[in-house]
Amino acid sequence: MVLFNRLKKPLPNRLRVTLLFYFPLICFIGVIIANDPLAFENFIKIQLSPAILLTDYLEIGGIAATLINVGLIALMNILLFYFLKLPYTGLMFAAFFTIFGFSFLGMTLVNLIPIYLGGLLYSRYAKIKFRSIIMLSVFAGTLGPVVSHLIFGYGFTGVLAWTLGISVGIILGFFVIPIARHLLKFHDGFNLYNIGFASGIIGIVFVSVMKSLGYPTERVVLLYQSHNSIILALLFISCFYLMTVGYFAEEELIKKWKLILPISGRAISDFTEPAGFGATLFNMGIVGLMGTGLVLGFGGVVNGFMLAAIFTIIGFGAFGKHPKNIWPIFTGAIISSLLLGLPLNATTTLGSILFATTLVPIAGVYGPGWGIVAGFLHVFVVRQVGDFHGGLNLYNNGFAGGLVAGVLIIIIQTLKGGEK
Amino acid sequence: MRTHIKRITSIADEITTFLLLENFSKLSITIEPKGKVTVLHFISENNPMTQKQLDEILQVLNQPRQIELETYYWTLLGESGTDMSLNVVGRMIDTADGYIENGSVVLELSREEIE
Repeated sequence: MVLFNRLKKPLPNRLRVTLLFYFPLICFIGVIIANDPLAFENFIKIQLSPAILLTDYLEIGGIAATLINVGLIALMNILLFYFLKLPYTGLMFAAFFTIFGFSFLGMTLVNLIPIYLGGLLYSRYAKIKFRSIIMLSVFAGTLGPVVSHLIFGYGFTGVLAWTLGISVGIILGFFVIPIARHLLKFHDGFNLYNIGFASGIIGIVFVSVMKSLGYPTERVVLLYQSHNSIILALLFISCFYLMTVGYFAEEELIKKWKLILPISGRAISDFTEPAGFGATLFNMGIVGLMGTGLVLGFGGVVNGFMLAAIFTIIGFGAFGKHPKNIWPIFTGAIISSLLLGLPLNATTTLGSILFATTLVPIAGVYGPGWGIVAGFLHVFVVRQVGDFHGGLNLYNNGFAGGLVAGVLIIIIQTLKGGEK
Repeated sequence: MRTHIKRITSIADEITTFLLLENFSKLSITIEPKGKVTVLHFISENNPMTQKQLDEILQVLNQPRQIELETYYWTLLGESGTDMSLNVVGRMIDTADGYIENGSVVLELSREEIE
């Protein structure tokens, strides 16, 4: 309680970042509860997997090993944020929770570190501080499967495999930053997962080169399909933790939270600035519960893919997403799923619906009607584009979202006869 | 250095676009480098903007500077002249001041070049 009361006063940014330590902590508690004697062995198995979409670590390594992977990656990132003295911002929360979620589905220590090194090299080359671009390097973990697949998936062996994987990881980590920045203009900030869009394009180039050299990339579907109480507890406790800290950190919580709802969500929509720290955390918990409710309401299984989607929504609950701009996207995506005859309890269907929220800025700027159209289109596009990059881009929905947003905003603006 | 210049021109572009959305008789822009600090000065004559509108704009422009956001999002500038774009400008500058005098809106933005 003393800590919570302390939160109401101006708190140094570095201390606020430490609130994130809860997340690796709860993972390690989960490891203890799962009590798996093969946990460490399976953790190594996860590190050595090709990591291509859809590789659910809960399926290939079990609960304990996956939570070790998630906890260690979370811990590494929090320490980086802390020692780089990053201020808490909406973008930081978005980056942290995206990588937290995708550590269940494709990200490992092995495939992230070379990408971070590439970002570090870029900062040196561009003569900017690493802290200025660390968040982009975190998001760039989406290209982790390229590293893992080069080392463990294409058939290269020994030193050659590791050299190729690490080198390419560093190169991609270096160039993804300027490429992503440039591609923002394609959709004008209407696709929140822009690194996913950039990485999809990079993935297409990479897969084309590899295929031409005689190394085709085969996609896999390895999904955990059981309900697990530890995983459900992790999700619910995380949402309620955020809401509780938000509640105690903000005296006029609901009043401040209402300041978030009129914000369009288009980049840059950092909720920590207009609404404050507490209301932002509260919103993150709310949108997390919306995502969880959708999955459980349709009878879906909370597996690695769902955790990646829900934690990404939680993260962007500080940087663009709130109930008012999410519901039209959900509605449009559900309608198209029904039209296509997709089972609504299937992981892939639910993933498309949840990740379609990358397009919330369209609902926020142009209204719920266009939001429904955006969500509707997203499901059609995302089902087709994954093969383009061979599953080497974890944020496949960010890639699809970029394409939808880039086309749709031009259509909308044309029909509106141009903005004033 | 080149990126720094492009960022300055993007800020000028965004504010110009925003001011051009209103009726006015003349718009003057001065960009003044003072060592590591660049001052951008805008005077929009016979602009119908109210003090309340100006205060709202200054509130957006005076958000704390965030290098982490600027590094990535500055390329979005210069397209729309919307509140959200002004939000990006606010993250890229250190101070914004402004007033209305004899029907002219005067805006002064200051930005220090830092890594």
